[in-house]
Amino acid sequence: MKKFSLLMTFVLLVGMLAACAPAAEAPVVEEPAVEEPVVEEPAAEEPAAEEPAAEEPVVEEPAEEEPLRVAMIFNTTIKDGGYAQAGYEALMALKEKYNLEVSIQESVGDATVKDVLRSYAADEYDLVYAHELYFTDAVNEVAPEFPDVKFGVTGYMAGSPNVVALDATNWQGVYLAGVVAGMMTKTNKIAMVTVSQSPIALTMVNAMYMGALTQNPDIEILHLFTGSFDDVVKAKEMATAAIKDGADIVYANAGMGTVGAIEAAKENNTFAIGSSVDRNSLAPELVLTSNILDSGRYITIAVEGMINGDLEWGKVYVMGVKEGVEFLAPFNNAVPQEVKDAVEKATQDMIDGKVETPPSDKYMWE
Amino acid sequence: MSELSNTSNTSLPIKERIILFARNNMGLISTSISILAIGLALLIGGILIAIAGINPWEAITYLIKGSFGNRYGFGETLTRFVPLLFCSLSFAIAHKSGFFNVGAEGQLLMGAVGAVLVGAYIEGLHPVIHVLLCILAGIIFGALWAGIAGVLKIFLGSDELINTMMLNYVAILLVDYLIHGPIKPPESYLYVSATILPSAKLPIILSKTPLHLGFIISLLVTAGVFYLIYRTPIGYQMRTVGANRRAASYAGINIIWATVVALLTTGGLAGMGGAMELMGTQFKIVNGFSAGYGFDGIGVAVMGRYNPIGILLAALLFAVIRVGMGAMQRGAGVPFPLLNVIQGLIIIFVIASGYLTNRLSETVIGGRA
Repeated sequence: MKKFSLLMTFVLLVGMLAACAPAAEAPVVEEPAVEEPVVEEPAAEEPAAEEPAAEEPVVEEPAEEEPLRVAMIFNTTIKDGGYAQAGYEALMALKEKYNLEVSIQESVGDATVKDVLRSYAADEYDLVYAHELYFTDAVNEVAPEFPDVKFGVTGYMAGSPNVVALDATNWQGVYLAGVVAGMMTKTNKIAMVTVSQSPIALTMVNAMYMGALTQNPDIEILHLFTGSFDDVVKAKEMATAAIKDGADIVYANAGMGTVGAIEAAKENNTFAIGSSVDRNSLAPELVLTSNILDSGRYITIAVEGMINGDLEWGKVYVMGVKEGVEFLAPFNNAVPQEVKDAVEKATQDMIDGKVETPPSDKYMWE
Repeated sequence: MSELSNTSNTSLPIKERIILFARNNMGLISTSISILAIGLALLIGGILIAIAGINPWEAITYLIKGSFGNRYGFGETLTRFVPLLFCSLSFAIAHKSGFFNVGAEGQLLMGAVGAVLVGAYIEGLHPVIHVLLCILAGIIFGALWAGIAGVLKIFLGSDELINTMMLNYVAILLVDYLIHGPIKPPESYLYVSATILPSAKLPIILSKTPLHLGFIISLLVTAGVFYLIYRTPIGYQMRTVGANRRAASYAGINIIWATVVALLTTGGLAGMGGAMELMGTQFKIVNGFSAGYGFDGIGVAVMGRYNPIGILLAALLFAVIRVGMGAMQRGAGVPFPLLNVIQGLIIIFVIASGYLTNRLSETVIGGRA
């Protein structure tokens, strides 16, 4: 019996290999014919003779003008209704516009992203874009191994001359939300729900304070943090408590918790401001606006910068209102014209560089 | 035998004839069943892919090409193979010794923690010594983690299946806590552990691929494990305890000692797998450090029928699937959820084919008697 099972397992693999042999070889036959007239270099720079043949067939139309080949990596599903989806849709729009050849891999874990990056790079994609903050280290580790490939990452570091890192300010949109909140509040108390007290969160809190302060000198911010990107219930409880404490505007930037906080505002008939994407549909009467972070802009900027040749490689771009990465969603009917004007002015101030970056290490009012 | 069956064929009823045929051609039959199983899984997968509007032949070509057809894919496949092999060895040893260790995932993580502590925080060692110390730390951490369930089983008789499984979640959350605070480098933006020093990294053995020395170590360890189990007195004792605890007791075998050795080995192996993964490819613990290797290791061991060659081949198959799935997504654009379905199909069909072969050979043997 043991022999049988052993044999079986062995055979199963042999079977697999046998099944694949024609598959792997078939493209090799058509390969040289397509490849040789176009480029002569790969053969010379690739010492292992079998490899180029096997990995090349991806290029199927090199006879025509070669399209830019862009690969994009996501750490979640592309159907997440937010961050990844915006990036994916932007990529598809770019594909249409510039006739790109694109490939994506979704749901890539932090543990395997280096392999995915290297696979794409070995496949000689022109641009490999990792659409996730947590991929930053991996991109900077892999990029030096492939100097001919360009890498982009939505992150904070570009440690190699073929890497560009694109990041949001993460506070400019919140500042605009602060302007709205500062004018709309009657109790002068704003509840702000975030995930943590990290430097990024503190910057956001201070941006809210600064924005509100321009309109309202008596503003007070009740900062609450849930400790989790997923905890809807806790965000709702905290927002409810803050409303009972006198807050009459709830701003939430707490992952899924944002939904919970807006739910609390709805139950207490209190105004709310959403974040990341337009949250108006959650409570059309009460959600004044949302500070949107358009994560699709990153890939657009990277690809267009590559096509136009005006992207500086080896650099970190921190972008906000000016670059169209951060902005406010359309206001609902409760927002009067004077608020809209104030937001417009604040936007212009920021574009002109008149607004300082808020501190990230302490609450400004302390 | 075959002449006999050939001559008597015509006179026998149909059922007997089938049994006779099967008895004479068992190798051929089990071979066909296995090939058929893979073929069937790919066929159904192909139909699903076609429904999704993608050329199935192209997709399946990428599965093979991505995992074997190019240098990088080949190296990546063998790299994935390493932790899978360690986890399946861990499960197989436990199985032979009469208990279920479904906690390889947690033990692997704890092994990685041990290795990162030694690898990142002890400086100025010679690379060989540093690497050995890291591996040792991985083994010790993994063994201790398995030891928790072991102590509970030996002294309180509580079920190790539940305990090892629950300890997985404890380990996952513990590691999550560690990378959020204690072992996170203060300057890091992200929640990751410190990176191990260059002297603790395993060398790459195939240039332009991620394939590291851990691959060779894993093959040696496999040989060592089966030597231990089949060629040493303690291995004999472990197997006897596994086969029949009471009989082992009557035979004068120290059950506690055999169980302790088995537990330390099973935990140590998974921990070593974690250390290898850390020192060979990842160099630091990130969120989701183990991509389910501990759980897949169970499947590998079962599919490989707990024997060395079987486990090696099954681990290779799992690694091929893992790597090939990525290539299918990149090359042919097969959506990720569909890939999970195909992966499941292949595993189910292969296990079913093994079951079928088993039943068939039992029937044949039964027919003989």
